Amino acid sequence: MEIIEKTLVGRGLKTAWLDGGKRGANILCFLHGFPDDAKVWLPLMQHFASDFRVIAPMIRGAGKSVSCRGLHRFTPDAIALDVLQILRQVDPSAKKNIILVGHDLGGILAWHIARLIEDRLRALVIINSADLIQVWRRKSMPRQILKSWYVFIMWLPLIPNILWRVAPHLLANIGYTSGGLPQEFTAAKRNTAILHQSMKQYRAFALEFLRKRLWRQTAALKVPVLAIHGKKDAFLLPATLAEFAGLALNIQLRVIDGNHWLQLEQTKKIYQLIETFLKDHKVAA
Amino acid sequence: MRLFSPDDDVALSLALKKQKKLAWNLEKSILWKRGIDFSKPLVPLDEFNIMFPGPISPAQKLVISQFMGLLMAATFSETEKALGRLRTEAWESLMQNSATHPEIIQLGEQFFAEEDKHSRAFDRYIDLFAKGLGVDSAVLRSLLPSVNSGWIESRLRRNAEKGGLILWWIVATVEEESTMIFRQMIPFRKVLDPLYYELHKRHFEEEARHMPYAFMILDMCLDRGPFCYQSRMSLDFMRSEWLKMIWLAMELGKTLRVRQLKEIHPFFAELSALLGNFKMRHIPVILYRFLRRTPYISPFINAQYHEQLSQHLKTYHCPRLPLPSPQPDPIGW
Repeated sequence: MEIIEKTLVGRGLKTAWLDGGKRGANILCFLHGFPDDAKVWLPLMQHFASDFRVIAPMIRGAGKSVSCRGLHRFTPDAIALDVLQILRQVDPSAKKNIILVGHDLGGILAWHIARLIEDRLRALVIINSADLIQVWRRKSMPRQILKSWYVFIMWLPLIPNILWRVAPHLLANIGYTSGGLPQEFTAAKRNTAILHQSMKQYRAFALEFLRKRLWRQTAALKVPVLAIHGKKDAFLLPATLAEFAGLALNIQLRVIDGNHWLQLEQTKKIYQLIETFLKDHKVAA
Repeated sequence: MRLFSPDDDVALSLALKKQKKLAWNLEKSILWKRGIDFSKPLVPLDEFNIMFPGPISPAQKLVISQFMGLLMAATFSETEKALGRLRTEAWESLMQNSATHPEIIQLGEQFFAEEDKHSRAFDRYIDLFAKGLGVDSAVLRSLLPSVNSGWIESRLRRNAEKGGLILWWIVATVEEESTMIFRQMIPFRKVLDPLYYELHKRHFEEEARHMPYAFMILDMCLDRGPFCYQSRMSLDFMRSEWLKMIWLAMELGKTLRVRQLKEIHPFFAELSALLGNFKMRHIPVILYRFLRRTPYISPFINAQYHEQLSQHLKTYHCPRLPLPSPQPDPIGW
């Protein structure tokens, strides 16, 4: 089924997304992470396109989603508003149920948006990611702090901007190789313009987290949550059930043998896990 | 033995379905109505009666066999009960911190349910035996091993609370030993008490299916933890060996109480008389026999009897006590 890139102008900026699948069906919304764009979801979207309406927003600065100066359009709330505008465009009547699937930073976003649209949300799927509260809980884990070395670099003023301009391909390849991105996708990810833009997300998320003290416990999600982690993820330790305490009432955790980009490395396996999960929880298309 | 891999969710799911489908029922699957045939032994013995030198009459040999059978039944029942009591500390927190698929938790639920069923089955046999002798079950149980929230259990609890693995090493040993015991009983099934044989057969069926679970828990912990955790945990096997030996010495010592019971029933009188034979052995000889050659007891203490256990110890470089290598005597009747 054809999946095409669409755009809208929302709150003064052009926002793009990939759109396809079965018209009139419930919506599977895929949220990409850093330093990807929505095309990272294409193989998985193709699998679900026959049963669901599949959309994958391009986060600010990726694809045709125009970037801007400053960090104000990169905060979790700002990006959530962009995604909600896309959902309103795709489903103006707001009658369709939504299943959110997030990877990496997109997973953090998915948790955030899930709390905003819980009445329409049927399920949440997180791939190689963690909620900000989980991240906060890992602050005393030396192994996680070591794996997150790149986050600390991105928080520094000026230095990351200089690094991206001086050697963007080198830095990108370090990230992709250490994250285990399959070779066939590495070459395609030479668009380094996105790296600089999506780096703003890290800063914006961190500032918002501290400013609004987002580590304070919110009410646990009632929708079923599937968390999938790659055992060999170079950037995140696999989650444990204990970490999800207070975040979700119905959590299913799966840790499989894989790296950071599971949706590309093991598309079929991820598709089967999500499909079985949705069937078990009676989340119909 | 085909082990469960904690990463293989498909195989775990199939194993879970199989276990649930084939699980036996305590009331319906064992013919309790047939009762115990007191003229028959419960377990075959080593042919040379190494623990009881001197001439042994057939009646005495029968009593030894029946008592050994009761000792084993009580050991299985008590360790399985203790496992259930330590479930929260030894398993639930582990699942919260290590489980990688929901099937691992579901298999664990099934495992604990089956262990509880086994302990009730063995308990029921002991009660039936006491009833057949015409004595109170508590009187018979005063001679048999127990794990009654005493020092051993508190030690296991403290270790489990710190994420230790002593209990799981003991479980793995008992699981492997129980399958070994049944295999030793098979050639003698026609001479053994049918109810006892059937009990062990049913026990064996489920143990063989769920035995890999204990080894999987060990794999999950020893394979994945940080290096300092692995180093600390690798010593837990040795700690489990010490605990087993101390527990065995304490519990076998209860047998001496039979002297106070000899007036109650000829069974106890016969056992009491046999203690005299037992005392003819020197203590170092007794210890040596226990560590190396005594059926049913040596495999409990000495890991070298067990293939999978030995393999795990080698894989994870776990040190163990320098026990002598097994030299089991042939079993017969």
